[in-house]
Amino acid sequence: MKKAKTRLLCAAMALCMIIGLALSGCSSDSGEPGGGQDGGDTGGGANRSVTIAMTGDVNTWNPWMYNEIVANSIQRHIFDSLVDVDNHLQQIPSLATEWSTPDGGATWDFTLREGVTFSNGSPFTADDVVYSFERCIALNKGWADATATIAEVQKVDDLHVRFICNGVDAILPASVKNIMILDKETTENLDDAGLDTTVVGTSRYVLDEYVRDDHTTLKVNENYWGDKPEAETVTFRAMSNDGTRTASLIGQEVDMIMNVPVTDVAMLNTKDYLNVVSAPSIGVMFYNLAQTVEDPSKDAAMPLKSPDGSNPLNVKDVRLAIVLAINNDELIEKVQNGYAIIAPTCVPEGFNGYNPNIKDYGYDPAKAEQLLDAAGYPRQGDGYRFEITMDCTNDRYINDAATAQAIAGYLDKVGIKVNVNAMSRSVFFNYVRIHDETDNTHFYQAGWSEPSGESVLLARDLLYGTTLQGRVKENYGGANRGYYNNPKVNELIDKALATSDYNERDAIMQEVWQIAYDDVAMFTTFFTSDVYAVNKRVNFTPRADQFILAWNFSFPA
Amino acid sequence: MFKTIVQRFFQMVAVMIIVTMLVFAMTYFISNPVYLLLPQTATEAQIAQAEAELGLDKPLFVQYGIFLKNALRGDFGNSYFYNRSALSVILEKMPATLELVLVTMILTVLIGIPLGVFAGARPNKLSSKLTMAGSIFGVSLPSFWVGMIMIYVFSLMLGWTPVSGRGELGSILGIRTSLATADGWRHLILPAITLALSNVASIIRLTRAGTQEQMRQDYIKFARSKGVGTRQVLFGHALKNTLIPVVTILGLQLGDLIAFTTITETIFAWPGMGKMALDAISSNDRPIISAYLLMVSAMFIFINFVVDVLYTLIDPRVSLGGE
Repeated sequence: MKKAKTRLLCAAMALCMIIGLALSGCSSDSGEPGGGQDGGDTGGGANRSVTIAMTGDVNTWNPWMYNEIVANSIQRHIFDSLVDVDNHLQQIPSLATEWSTPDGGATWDFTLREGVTFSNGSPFTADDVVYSFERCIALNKGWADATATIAEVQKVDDLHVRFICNGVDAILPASVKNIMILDKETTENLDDAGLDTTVVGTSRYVLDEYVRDDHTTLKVNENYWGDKPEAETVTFRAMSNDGTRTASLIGQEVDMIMNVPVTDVAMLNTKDYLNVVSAPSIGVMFYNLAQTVEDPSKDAAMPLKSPDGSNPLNVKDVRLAIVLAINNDELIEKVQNGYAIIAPTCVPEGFNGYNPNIKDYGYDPAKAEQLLDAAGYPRQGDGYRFEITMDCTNDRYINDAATAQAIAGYLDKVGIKVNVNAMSRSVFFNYVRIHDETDNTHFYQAGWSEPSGESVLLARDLLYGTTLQGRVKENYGGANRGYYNNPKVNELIDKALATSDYNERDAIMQEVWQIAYDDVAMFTTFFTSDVYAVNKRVNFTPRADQFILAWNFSFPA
Repeated sequence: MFKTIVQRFFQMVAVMIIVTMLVFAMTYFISNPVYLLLPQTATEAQIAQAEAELGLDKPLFVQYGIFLKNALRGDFGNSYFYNRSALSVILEKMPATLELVLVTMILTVLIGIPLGVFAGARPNKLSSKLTMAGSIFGVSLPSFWVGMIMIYVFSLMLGWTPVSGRGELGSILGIRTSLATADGWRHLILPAITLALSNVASIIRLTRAGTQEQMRQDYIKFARSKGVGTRQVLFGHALKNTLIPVVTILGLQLGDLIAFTTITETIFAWPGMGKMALDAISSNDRPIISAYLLMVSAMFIFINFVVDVLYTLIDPRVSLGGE
């Protein structure tokens, strides 16, 4: 009797607690945020500070070490490069006021801005440019690709530098924009640890406080050479957990969060003090199909299995059928909650070489089936035409594994059996590398983004020929794991890389993308959208390359 | 006693050697970190160069030898992503974790033990039953969920505490810590309570069981009949005899907290070692992973040793040598 009573009591209490928790969970949506006004940044119009929750932090203040988006974005507040880009990724002058090439890209002359000083008062001269490039090139780390074509940087006089290229680089300014300029006098004798504590640049902000992996606080650089930004202090907070970022925004501890989970958007939209801002990014999901491989690897753990042992991906109509079988609109709507835009090719609008005539292949499963039948791959007894494995990541891009699963579903409907082989990014990028004849990868999904605004660089990495024996040209075709190898395309890419005239290059590249589209060299599904949620006390203008810049914030009256 | 301590020391060394092998093998077989460090388009030559720089091109046993040699000198190599020595990265993060653990352990002892003693001494009182029912939630609710609910209730609904971060740092004995400022404490208290919750619950249950058992013993009856006050009976006599298992568990909890505050730190964006370890694993930062795992294992071995020594102090019948 006593025991039963105790048990009853316990059960009743458990019930109470559960109900209590559930109620506390429901009563949220209408209520005003509780508070958390400790940040001191939630005041009125006079307060010109902004706090931003990022997904990570700056690991080192040596700007030449790593190429990583969050760190690049924060470091850009302190350091300048010779060339900058605007919000539409078009090149604009920065520490250099003008640049030109007298000989079609073999040498480049840059005129430097006069009267610029570093935040510690040291003057900016050509010596600093030469020093920064030499040290970055010697380091040979995150920006090795960007500096690969630079043979030498020469000082002409205090306000002029000349770049000598290895061969011809007609788009050198697009690479130069990535290399930050540091002061030679201040940093020449510092090692990496020294660079971590002596942070001196020429840009709009100076470092005020830095607690690694917690926050970075910047304040306006009084010596800045250009227009001063509206925000006087900026704090970047590091929050890797999605829920924590959302909670901090609702608690009004931060003014903006990046990478809003699409599942939180509807809830955030109900808050009248918040705006959800989305912008198409340059990040594209792309797919390679292993063609021009006569015999698909039979040693692979998960080989490509077709009834007659041939490689169906060699047939252009089969590749086309695969693309036609996928419903991109539905994929964007269902998997990405609408936060993506359709990608007919991997070239974002506004890039050099963007071809407006190329439209999405469309969704036509009936035609896909016809093409597959005609190509000699009819449905077999089990209902499938052939079986293939799709390699993809499950922790690298937004909803990457879900996207791959959805694509497998579409292909299943037209009789292609797709085994999704999802793995962590720490394994994936090794797994899908072009190794040798025992290559495992026949079909894979990955993401790509090229912030230079030059589609020729996209083509160089994604389209330039590769074969199972290796690359046709060293350093080219590094992400062409579909072994697409069209000599005409290779030739045109070479030509574009040597064409310094913007319009000429644009015309060549438009042709390249048309050929690749007609060949179904590879295919793309969508450009992901960057989603931000912003407190209404500030306005924010996103930039296509995901850089979050304090001067893109303004304060409404 | 001395002989036993020396014996235990050699046991500890043997265990550590086995641990280094495991740690090395684990980090080695996860995958090659070079592919995460270089761009997707890297050529074979660039990969070979990067592998040579990191010493990954040498035979396995040579790599292990280098790893062991450097580890003995406290040098685990430079973190791939921080570009600083792995040990300095860990030492930088350590105060944040230790301050959290310190407050958590104090909460655990101050709340868990008295509540456990009362629940054990007066099992039929309503307050005891409430305590025990509450402790069921404490032990069974997962900490990531509790953390989110805590943020929701105390930060968003009530607005008492900030959502995340470490707050303002002050200085105590030259160490930068949140414990030195009021703002730091406001940031600290929520993650500390989240961490303490399950520990408090298990300490309550353990203490209660021990106390209940002790209360039936003859010496308690004797003490009572002799007129010793309730408080003296409970805390002077009964508690002392229930402490041995409690101290063992507290020791393990301490190790667990220092090593695995991972989830709580991630949720509260607390820049400590747990979050660092998680980031290091996802980016395959081998020097940090191995330094961290070795440090954690050394700590566990040491804590177990200390717990053994503590037994002898609490209970004179226990001797380390077993004679």
